[in-house]
Amino acid sequence: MWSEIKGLLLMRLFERRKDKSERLNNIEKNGVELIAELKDVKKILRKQGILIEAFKTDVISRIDKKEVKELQPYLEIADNFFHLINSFKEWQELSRGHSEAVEIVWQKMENLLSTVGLEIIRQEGLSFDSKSHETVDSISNKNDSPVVLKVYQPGFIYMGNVIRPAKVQIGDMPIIDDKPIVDACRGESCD
Amino acid sequence: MTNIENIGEVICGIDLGTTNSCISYLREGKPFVVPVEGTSAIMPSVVSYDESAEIMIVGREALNRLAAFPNHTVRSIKRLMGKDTKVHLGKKTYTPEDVSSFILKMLVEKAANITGKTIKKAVITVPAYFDDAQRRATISAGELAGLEVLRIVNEPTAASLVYDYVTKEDDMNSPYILVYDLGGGTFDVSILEIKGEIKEVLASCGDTSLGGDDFDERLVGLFLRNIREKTGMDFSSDNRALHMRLKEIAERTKIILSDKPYTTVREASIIVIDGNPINLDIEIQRDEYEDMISDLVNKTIEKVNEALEEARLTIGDIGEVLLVGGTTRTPMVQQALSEIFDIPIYHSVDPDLCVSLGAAVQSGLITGEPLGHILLDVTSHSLGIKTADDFDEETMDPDHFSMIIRRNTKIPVRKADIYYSTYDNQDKVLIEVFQGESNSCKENTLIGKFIYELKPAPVYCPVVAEFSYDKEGIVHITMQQKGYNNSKDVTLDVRNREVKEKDASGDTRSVLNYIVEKYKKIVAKEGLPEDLKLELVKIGTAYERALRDGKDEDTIDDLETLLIEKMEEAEDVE
Repeated sequence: MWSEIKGLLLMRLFERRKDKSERLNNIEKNGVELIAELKDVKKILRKQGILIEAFKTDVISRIDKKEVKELQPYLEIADNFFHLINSFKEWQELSRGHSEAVEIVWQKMENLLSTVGLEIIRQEGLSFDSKSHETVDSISNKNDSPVVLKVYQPGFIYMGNVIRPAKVQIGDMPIIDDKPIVDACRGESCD
Repeated sequence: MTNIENIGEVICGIDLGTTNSCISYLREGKPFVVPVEGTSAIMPSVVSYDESAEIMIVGREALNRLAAFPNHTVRSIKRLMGKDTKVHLGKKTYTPEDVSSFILKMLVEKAANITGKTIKKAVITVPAYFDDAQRRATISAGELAGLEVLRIVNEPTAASLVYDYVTKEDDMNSPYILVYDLGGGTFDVSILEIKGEIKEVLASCGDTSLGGDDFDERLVGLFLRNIREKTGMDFSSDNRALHMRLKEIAERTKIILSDKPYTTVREASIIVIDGNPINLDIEIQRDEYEDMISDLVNKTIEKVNEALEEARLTIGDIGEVLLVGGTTRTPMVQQALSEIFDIPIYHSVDPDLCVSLGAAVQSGLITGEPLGHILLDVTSHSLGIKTADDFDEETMDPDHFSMIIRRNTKIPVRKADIYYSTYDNQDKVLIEVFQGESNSCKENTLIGKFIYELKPAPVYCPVVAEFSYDKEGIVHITMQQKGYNNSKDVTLDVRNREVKEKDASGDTRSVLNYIVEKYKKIVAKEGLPEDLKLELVKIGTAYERALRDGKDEDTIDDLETLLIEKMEEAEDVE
């Protein structure tokens, strides 16, 4: 009888131990699986991180760091518009309405160029600045502090750097009614 | 040995050119040029004195003042070096050495500002034909600029020094190097002989008034002829504003025609006649342009032969040809040389910066600074397609290799060429892509083929094949039947010889590229522990190789995880 009870107890004990060991094994197994899963999650997160980083870099480079070569289409459209308008101006004085219309389109063009970080140099009547103007010809007699009389081709500034200077004709500041023309106009339309 | 960088001082290499100048220095054993003019490393060799501000202006700004203040501005001072003459800049008088010293000083000051390093010593390059007086004058110019001139190096020698450190596939089996230098305004050809550590100039000749500007002028001539046809009027080059605009369009056209078989020049209002704007709208084929410049290219080839004669060598004696100067990007120049020389023609180092980079390499050789290999991703073989320009004598099947991307071209690269259909209403064409150097496809390796269906069109219908080769050895091919809105995109894995129709794999590849680029940037950073750097390089190289060799996804994935982990570790160190 006692030995039967002992056998039963031992069996129960054995089963409990087995159960416990199985449970421990399961916990260990689950733990290993959990760690593996965590590693996988970490791996996925890392890869997602790098994916986001690559995407971010790509977006930033598209927005921020255009090569001058990539900007060429913008430069060409501004150049062509500039020359087209000049072809009208060269033939006859534009009416006030036409001049205003041209200026409105220029401003829209400048807004568009500014979205890619471009700034256009096209103003006449300003003091010659060798940083942003390249002289093509000079009709200056005095040779000191010349002004831009004519812009032959607009220039461009990209992210603070002059990527192409405006090609200009320079000369002495024209005088109208004893006043230098730039002062008289103050950059506004002079017609 | 002292690590110069650690104490914040570097020795620079300066290419003091007639038209432009550049400055380079060594960073961790590799030469780098300094972008001294905004984003550009090329500074015009022009000096202008601003009398009212009492300052000397050098570079792009000085060039901008040339027509405004011609009496205060000087260019091409290099042509006067060594001569007993004076230059007037306004009321001031200078020697050519003084003027050159202003250029050197500006280069050094800008480079020092940008790099944060102190520059007191320099290696300066001069043309191989410079005599003693000209060399001494160059040294004086350096000293006047406050520099200790460690050495004066011949320009072709400097160029060849860079290529000594560029990984090449072939071993040279001749001691003779030919350096072909075609710049904007001058042409020089030199033959060097390697004698142990020394490279001696055996012969040097050239033309001081031949260069890329002449190529541009041929296009300007074409534009002027086009305007004359439209207007019946002759506009000579004395119309400066017109000439300036046409010159710029010509430069742009020339660059496009280096990569594409044709281009359309469309420019509004080139000139106004009686209130009517005259526009340019012409298509220019590369063949047409090459006809225009062929006599100029032939002139350079004559000089090559002169140099060979002077050196008492034959074409077969030359072991290597190096291309220097921006105009060598013209495919016809490379083609003309490869028709003469059956040896590698190297053009992978930026031809505008090559001499300056070489001067920096020379500075490292003088100080004993360890120099690393310059790793450039270049095409190891020429790539092209089979055409019916020639036939196999036995089978009479088409067998001509039409090269699109030349061997040793720096990648990524995009090049195109034009082909023509062979009969009326040709419905398709088999595009067979080969790599190799022979004119016969039989002797080259087939790396892929695909069918391109054509729309019905008369014979000689132009078809453009554009190859774009990226760093992973993938070629993106775009076929285009000109004027028929019919194009096809195909991706070709050169290493695995696999052809794929266009898919979305581009996105995945860009991420892989990003990982490679990022790890390289981390490795290049200063202050990273050496053991971590070595581990990164080891894993990174294995990862790149796995990508290149097209290993299975699991291998790439494991290496990628390891690499990302190490990159994170390196970033934590920072």
